[in-house]
Amino acid sequence: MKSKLIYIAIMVGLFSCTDQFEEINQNPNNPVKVEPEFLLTTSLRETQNLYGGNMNGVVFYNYTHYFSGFQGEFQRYTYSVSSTNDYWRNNYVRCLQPVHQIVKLYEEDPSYKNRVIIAKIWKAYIFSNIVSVWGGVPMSAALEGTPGVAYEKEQDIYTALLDQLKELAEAIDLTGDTYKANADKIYGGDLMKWKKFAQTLRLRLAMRISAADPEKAKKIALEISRNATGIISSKAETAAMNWGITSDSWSYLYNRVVYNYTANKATIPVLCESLVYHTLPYNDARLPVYGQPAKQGPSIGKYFGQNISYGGGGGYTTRTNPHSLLKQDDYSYIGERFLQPDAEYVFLSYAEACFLKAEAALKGWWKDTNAQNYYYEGIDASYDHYGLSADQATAYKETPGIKWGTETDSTGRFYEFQDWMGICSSYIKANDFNRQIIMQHWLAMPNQGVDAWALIRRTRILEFQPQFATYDGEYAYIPDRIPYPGSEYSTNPLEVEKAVSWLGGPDGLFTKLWFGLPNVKNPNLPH
Amino acid sequence: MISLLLMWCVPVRAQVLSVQGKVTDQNNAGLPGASIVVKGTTVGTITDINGNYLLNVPNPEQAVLVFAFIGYDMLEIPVRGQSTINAVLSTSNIGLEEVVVTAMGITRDAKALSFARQSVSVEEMTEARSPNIVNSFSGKIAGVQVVPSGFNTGSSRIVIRGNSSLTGNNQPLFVVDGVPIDNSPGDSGSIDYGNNAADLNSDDIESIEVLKGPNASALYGSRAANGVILISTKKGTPKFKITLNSGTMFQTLTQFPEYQNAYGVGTSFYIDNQHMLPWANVNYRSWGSPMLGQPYVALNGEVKPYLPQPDNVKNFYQKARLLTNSVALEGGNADNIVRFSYTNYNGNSVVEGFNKNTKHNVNLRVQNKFRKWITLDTKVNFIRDNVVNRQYSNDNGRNPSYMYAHMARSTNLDELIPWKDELTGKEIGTHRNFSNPYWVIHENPNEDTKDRVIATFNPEIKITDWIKLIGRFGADMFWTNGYEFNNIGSIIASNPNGFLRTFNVNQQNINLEGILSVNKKLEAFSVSANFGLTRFDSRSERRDSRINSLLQPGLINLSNAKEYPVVSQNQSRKRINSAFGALSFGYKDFAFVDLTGRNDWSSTLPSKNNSYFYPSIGGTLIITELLKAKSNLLSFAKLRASYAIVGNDSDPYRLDQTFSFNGFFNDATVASLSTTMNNPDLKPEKTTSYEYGLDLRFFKNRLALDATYYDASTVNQIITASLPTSSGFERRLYNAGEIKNWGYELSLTGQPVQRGNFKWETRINFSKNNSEVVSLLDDIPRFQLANRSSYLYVYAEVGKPYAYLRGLGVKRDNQGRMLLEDGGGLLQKNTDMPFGTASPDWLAGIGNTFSWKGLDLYFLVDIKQGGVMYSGTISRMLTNGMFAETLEGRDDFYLHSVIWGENTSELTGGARWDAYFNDGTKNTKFMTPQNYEYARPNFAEFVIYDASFVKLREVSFGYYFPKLLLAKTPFENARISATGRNLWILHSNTPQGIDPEASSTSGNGQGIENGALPPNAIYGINVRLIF
Repeated sequence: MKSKLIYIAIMVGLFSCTDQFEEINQNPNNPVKVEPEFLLTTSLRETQNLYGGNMNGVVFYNYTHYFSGFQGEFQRYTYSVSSTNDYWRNNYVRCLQPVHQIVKLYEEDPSYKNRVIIAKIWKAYIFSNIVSVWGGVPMSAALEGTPGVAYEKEQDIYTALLDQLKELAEAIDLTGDTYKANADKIYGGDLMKWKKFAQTLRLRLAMRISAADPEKAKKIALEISRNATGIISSKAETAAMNWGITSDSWSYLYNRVVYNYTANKATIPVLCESLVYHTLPYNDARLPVYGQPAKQGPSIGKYFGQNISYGGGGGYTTRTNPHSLLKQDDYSYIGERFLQPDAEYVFLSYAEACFLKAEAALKGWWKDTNAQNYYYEGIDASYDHYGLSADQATAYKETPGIKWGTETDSTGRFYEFQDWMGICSSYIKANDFNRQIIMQHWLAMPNQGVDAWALIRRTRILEFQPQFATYDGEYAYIPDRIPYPGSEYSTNPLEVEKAVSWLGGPDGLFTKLWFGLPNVKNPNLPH
Repeated sequence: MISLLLMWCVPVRAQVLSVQGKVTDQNNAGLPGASIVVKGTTVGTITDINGNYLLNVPNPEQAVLVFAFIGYDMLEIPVRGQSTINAVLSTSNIGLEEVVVTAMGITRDAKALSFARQSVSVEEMTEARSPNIVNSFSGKIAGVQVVPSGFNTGSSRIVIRGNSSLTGNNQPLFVVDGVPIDNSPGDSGSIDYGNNAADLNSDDIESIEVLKGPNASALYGSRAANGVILISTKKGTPKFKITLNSGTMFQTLTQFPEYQNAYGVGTSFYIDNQHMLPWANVNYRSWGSPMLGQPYVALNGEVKPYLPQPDNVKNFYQKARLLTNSVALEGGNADNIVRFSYTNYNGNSVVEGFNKNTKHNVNLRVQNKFRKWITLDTKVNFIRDNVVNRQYSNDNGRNPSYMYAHMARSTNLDELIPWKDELTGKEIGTHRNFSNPYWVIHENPNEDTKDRVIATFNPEIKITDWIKLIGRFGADMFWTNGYEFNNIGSIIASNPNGFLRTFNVNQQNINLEGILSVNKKLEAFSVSANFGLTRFDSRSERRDSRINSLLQPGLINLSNAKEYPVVSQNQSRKRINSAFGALSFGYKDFAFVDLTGRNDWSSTLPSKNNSYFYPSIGGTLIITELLKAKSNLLSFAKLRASYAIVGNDSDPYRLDQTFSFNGFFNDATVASLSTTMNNPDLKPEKTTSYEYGLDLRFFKNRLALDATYYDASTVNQIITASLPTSSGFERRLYNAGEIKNWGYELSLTGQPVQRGNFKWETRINFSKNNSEVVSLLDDIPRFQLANRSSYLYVYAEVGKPYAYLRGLGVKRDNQGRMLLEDGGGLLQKNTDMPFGTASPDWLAGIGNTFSWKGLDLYFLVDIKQGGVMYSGTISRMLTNGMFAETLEGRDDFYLHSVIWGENTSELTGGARWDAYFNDGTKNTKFMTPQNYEYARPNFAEFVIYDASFVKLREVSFGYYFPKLLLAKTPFENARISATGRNLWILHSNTPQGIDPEASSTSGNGQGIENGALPPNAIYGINVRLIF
């Protein structure tokens, strides 16, 4: 019996109590807190990958007329629900959440003051993109993991962003803490540059709403102009970052066009015809930067761009379609600069700052009215940005149509300034200063799809072909927005429906946003 | 065990006759351990190792001997003064007097049970063999649904009585010899690594009990909320015996989709309009010109006539061989029994070069009785499972079966060989969207090896005659090593520079258990009480290394890296402590009450919620005994009812919000927050279940009906619900929602004919499960369980059955007619069209065995009624112009457009939407069939099918060689059988070539087929020799 008891005791002894449970359930794989540096890098990289990557290639290229290709739903001016879901999710979950976590984890600690401010500036930058794509979106209620997320009206978001950016720019303590240079892939931890970035972004947003709320835009532009050195004013202050040379870091265009060329060759993006007729006839030295001469086909050796309809539109003209039966390889490839694995993506450039100033000055919203100087400064900045010489810039600035206030000289080569159908032109009339500024603004930032699309929608002054390769056989003008994602309808229906009611139209691609101007119908096409 | 107890009370009385004899099975093999009891008394004995017995029978003139053995029909033979009585027991199909193993290994009289259980016949599993044991359950158990794996080496799904968890695991717990066995599915990525229970070897299995609901499984606690598959493996007998079993099976595809054979590769009726002599590789879909033998440049660069290749898909597949050989040795003496077995499985796939599977299974079982009061049951099972070249699954670009939905009708297989340019090392013979399948097979190898040890050590201590202490120490451990390699040079894959991924996974589950068992009979009352403690510990670790770019083609080594490898490590640990008790009272032979209670402490829940208790209560009344109503017509009637609650915990590490490191970006660290929002306040889930049952036996047990009604509801579910992503997270963990499952199960077993040597046995199972998602979160009407792009979603939706399909359909007018957009080219979209549930309306299985002398014929018909599925394969074949249906309007359009030259606006022939405009006018506009078929598959509506089927699931035709013939051989028993699985689809509503059982996942998101193999059958010969 005694030995039986020993056996029993051994068996019972094998079962002890629950005091180790907390230790057992402590995650051995993942930390609960990480350095703000890691999170900033993550957000910058995700933002670059989203706006400089898939959204650029799929949505913006055909909307901004820089590049053409990758036939698909967005490219044909309709939309894909799954892509829309992805873009929306990537904005909030991948781009915004890391910087939001910096704020949440470190806001209370004064030794992280500047880093928290910069995180907030970057959040504002991302929201400024989101609002331009969708209109009213969740902002202050976002990112907290709540099942219902309140939307805010588009104009309220602009107001809030303009206020926040002012406050943030002013709050940066230039003697305070900084991000490690290695983590801050844009400015290497330079606080002054972040301060200028915030103010320049404000100027961009003020000019973006210049048609919708001119009074507010004017007030802010004037306020910014009083501290002219407060905004980006040199090449070194351009906000840009580079991709890398390894497979997990290289650029979208390298991956799609170079690395996976064989698989993608039928749909690779190539130079768009619109970019060619805005540069080639003006002898713009940037064209060889933006594109390469065609390597084969009927236009071998020349700069030859595809229209965004992949050669479509033939039913609306009597001209012979030079695009008939051509492949992507028969066109000018995108410039080598943009196809590098470690290419650069520009968020906000010195050149843009100049054109914003020029535009404000032309409207009388700047402390001086020297729009011409700012216009030329912008062209110089752009040429310099792409490694072109001052002489090349000077020659360009003397070209009729480019020179301030002059008219394009199209004698004997009128067609060169037109698309192949002859329904759009880059021709500039005398004293059309605004069109000159906007055209240079657009020309300065190929590959900055999200910015250029907003510029096009708020100005509607440059002439671009509509999309003829639509699925229903009609043609369509540049879309005004992209629809809210299906995922919001299934998970946040009450709020998204409220936001739709603010739109003043259906939740589609062609409902104009508050900041934008209506599409200008092409007079040469039947309506 | 009952028989063991009986041994203790052999009485001695006057007027006693000594009776001896032998108890054998139908094949004349002695049955050791069979019990012989004098009816109506406690007088009895058991047979020795040769099946012989000796018993002193009181009242020899009136006495009746009752012969019983587990798994065999009970037999009554009147003594009538005979001193030698031999008994032949036949395999039982009506488990009336059965002693069955229930939860926690507690053996009980079947008749006293207050809940539904059903056993699975093991015999057929070793004959009409499936490479995955889970598939063998299909059609055999009322209430069990099996979704078989697409490949032999893939993951199968098994669900009992529907889905009780909204977003969690819904599969039952596998318990082998008292120890829970891991059955995680392996199909989370693009390669399906199979479910872990597939390691179990049917040759070693003695019996399988299925405990269907919480009422039966409550004692197992958290992990058994979805039921339990209780497996007992063979223990062996003292008699020395060698068993050899050899199965040679073949597998072939039995159906292919109907392809069109008129138009070949190309677009818009061109092969390719860029070259004078057109090229095959410019386009890849079959929208080219009519195939009339015109010359064109084929994929391999040769100029060939452009002709249909009707068998280009069929010829790609081969006949697979699945060989199973096993040997088992057993023997010993009265106190020590050893059984050793080795099984070798060798199988390949219908796709040559894929899924080459070798399995070794070594099993050693030792039972010792050390002293009178202590016995030990020890088992070590070692399994090595090696698979070379697992086939990529679903719509992965490297899955040849899926690629064949792209295969142009003009492509001949010969054009695809060679697949590699020896000079450049690049893939050749491809269309731009279609990888050469031979490239995939030969240049993208993968391999994995799993070593697994399942060990149990179960001592049993007899404290007194009626108190026992049972210990169960079980370990289930496995170690998996594997790699996946893609060579440099692929044209289609997104890794033209290749990649290599290696992984190591190890998992150890340790289960320690002690049970104090009391069995006492006092006059009319019997009491059985069990109290136990369990500790379950689970640890696992996974390490992955990956290089995304190779230096040198073909070198499968991590050092072959062009850039830094990416590594990850994921550890997991969990512990559950439990205390449980079960009390059973019996009054006479007709009333029984069961009570159970269990308390779990789980490490995965917050300390305030980590202890949870749940009880069950059940009652049984045997009407025939109570009312003395037994007659020739009604032999037995029983009513039962039970009520149970089961709690359930969570996975580990779901309380705190954490970050993960994601490598480097240009030398800076990248980190991100988990996209699922965790919940520090998690509570255990709770399933409540009622169950009522009726067991009836008629005609002296020749016919048995078992009926069960159940109603279960799970609340406080631990749900990962989708959040609006604007919340910064994708999902969040909640305790919310309720799902109900209710339904009934009927099982009918009988022997309609038993005349002389001829016997017909039949087993019919029928079950109907209804489910309803009662609530989710406030204001959230549905959760997404799975999706196929944005065309089709599978939801858990309030007010609907589980796994409800919705997706893109065509908007209808109030007369139900399809609506067109103005312009006539596009159908109007209904983005949220309901298609119904993927869950079946009812399931049934009809098994029949006919035996005559040594011959027997068995077949099982498996029926599923209802449930819908979406076919991604058909969708893809429509887009690609492969499917016969895509011929519609093609000739017509070719005539009008290409030959007569009508332009788009004036077309008078082609494809045309049978649809109307908003103003009610009918569409008259013709369009190209190509655009018509491009548009159609985007609407899930056009590729939704009813997934009902009637299948001839299992067949075996066997023969026992007669004893006389074997007398001169060393064999004691020899059997040969011809067997088959899935030989015939008697009925289905899916298009030919699409298996109505195909599924893209073994998870909860059922209802999507996407690149599955066409239906296939397994058939062959099985030989078993015992000597």
